[in-house]
Amino acid sequence: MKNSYKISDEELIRRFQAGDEAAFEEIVHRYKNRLMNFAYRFVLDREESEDIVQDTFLKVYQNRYAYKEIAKFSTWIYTITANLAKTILRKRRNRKLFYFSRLGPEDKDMDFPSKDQEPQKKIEGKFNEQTIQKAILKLPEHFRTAIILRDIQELSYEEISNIINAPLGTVKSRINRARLRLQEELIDLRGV
Amino acid sequence: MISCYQFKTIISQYIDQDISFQKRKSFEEHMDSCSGCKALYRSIVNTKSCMNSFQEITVSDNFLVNLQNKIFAERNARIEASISKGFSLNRIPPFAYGFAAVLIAVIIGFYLVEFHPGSQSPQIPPQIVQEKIQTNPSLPNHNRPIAPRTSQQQLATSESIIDSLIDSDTQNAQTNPDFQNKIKTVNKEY
Repeated sequence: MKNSYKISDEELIRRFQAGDEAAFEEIVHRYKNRLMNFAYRFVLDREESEDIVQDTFLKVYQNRYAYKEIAKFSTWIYTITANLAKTILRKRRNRKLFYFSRLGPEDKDMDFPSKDQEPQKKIEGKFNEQTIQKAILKLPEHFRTAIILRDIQELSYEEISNIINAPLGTVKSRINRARLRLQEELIDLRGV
Repeated sequence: MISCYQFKTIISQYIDQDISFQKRKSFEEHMDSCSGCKALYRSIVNTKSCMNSFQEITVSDNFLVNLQNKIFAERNARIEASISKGFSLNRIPPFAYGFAAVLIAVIIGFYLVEFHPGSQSPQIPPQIVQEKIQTNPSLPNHNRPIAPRTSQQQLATSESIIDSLIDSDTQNAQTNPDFQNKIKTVNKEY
């Protein structure tokens, strides 16, 4: 996800720190869906992930002066989202709820007649996506964060290193182990 | 030739093209000879490409409105909290104390320099003062030293003032007819 905007994120936050509210709106516009994707892959719940994203922006709004231009803005905002998502998961664990069981019949695929040229391929893709998503949810938290940031959000190793606050070597080995562990989980799910 | 364990440790480096030439060669040699490792490699690559093309999850239509409401609610809560708390020393930022201390030090320093008995205020050069007095003699000559008055001198001046008052009264009594009449009416009453 390359930044192709004329004004950089760092320039926007600088303007926002100087009192330009329109800069904050632009930040929201740029990041809302990226963060939504990240949060959703993390908690697998639409409402919760939207709450996480809103809380992320609220924190950015409140703590705008806490951002110093040492790190990239994207790193900072992803760190906030990741921490909020982890808090949600921790609360969930404490409540001992398994949110996957919340999926009702309305969430399952519906049998609408399709005009698509390759419906079979799409269904397979959908099935794969769901299976992979289930497998991701089974991963330990540190593996999940690493693999979502690398393979779904397509961030660089350096950015991931800053977000999860770990050395580059650790990030590389963690992503490698996360990919291998994901394959094990997928084999388990396919075997059921 | 590397082992299956070594193959697994560098599999991500190969996928992300973050591997040395020598390691890549060994990796590819192993993959050609081991069907299990080759299947694992293909599976990881397929999963990765599938994850790249995951359906994008977008925020709901009410997202911006809800966010705005959250920001306003939070701002109002903060204002209300600050009003209900009232004045508290804890809410004064630490730099304000430092600023106040510096300000007090500056004021005291200024006072000591300006009003200290030993200190001298900047004066007009005596040559210019003399010139001004010469040109305008009505101007008081502040530079001339004033000798301190003794108690005897003070007594003499006060006596002379009393004498002058008595003299003016007697002169008044002799010349003013109203004053003479007043004396007569007082004498009659007695």
